[in-house]
Amino acid sequence: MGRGSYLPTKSSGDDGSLAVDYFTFSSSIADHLRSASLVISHAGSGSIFETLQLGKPLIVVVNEDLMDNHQSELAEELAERRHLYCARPPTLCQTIAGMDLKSLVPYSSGDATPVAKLINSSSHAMMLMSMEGIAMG
Amino acid sequence: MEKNTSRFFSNFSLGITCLIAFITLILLRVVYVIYRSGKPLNRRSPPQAIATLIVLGSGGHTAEMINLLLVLQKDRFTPRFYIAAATDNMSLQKARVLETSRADSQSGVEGISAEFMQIYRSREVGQSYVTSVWTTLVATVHALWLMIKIRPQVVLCNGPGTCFPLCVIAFIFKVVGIRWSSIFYVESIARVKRLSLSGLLLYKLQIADQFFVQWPELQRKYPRAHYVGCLM
Repeated sequence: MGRGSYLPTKSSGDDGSLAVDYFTFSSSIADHLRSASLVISHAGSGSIFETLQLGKPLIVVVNEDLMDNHQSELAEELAERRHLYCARPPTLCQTIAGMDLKSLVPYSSGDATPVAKLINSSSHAMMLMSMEGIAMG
Repeated sequence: MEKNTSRFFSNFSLGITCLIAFITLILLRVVYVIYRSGKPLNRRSPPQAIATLIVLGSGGHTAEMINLLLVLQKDRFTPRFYIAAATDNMSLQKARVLETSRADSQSGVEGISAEFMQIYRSREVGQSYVTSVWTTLVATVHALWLMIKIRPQVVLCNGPGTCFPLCVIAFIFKVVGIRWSSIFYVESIARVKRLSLSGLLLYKLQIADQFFVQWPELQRKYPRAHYVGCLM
């Protein structure tokens, strides 16, 4: 799946085993997240914050192959603030075994509006400068 | 013989003098551009439409950019040019969805205010640093081609390697006088303690007009950065 070679086996779980389903892409991932009681995800910022903003318990598994191992900083910081659990592929099992989802602290969303305002006012100034440049030149 | 030698030397020293003068002019211009970049002025004129380049990286980068674009004044920052890496299948799709949904909510929309383009990737995930140098050069040539077509007045980026050649070219356009632009760099929320390579380069080379970081430790380490808190 994805860029990997492992393919899970779908199972309905009727015989008491774990029900397993998979997809490579879903445009309605938000619906799946909403109906979940636990999310286990890679530690990408988009996945993390989409899940945290829905208030779902989250275990992130860090992809250590990325440049600079950049997923780990965010995962560890948020785990320190107790917004989620952080694991690596070898430690995922024991993380699930030892987790206490009620101890997780809810995450309150950030706000991009101040940055948008800063970009707006800086661009305005830049426009004036370039207009002045044309006037002077 | 002596005449030829003295003529050669006078031509040579003239050439050297011209070269030094030229290099000095370029350096002065670069210093001026860095000095003038990012400086606010008094607001007088009414706002105008600003051609905006938005650089999309894979995964979280795109999610973060879309999060920012949702609160950015879209009738000011128009036309919008989205660039994503050629091997990134999802980002342009997500950008198209964003543009379509925002166009729907506005009545009386005329014309197309967004374009979507792909660029050769500077570096693939897991690619070695050594081969990355060559692929970055190829990406730079392609970036130059796209930038000449777009000539944006604002560049928005948040960290993928794709953005570095584009920002460098935007900066060169400023130095050479092709197009003055504002380069806004928002370091990804995933960068808590260390800057990304793109961020570090753009910060050190003073190419970005405004450099935003989302975690306080980065502002302590890089004082010219603006700390704006988590955007998501």
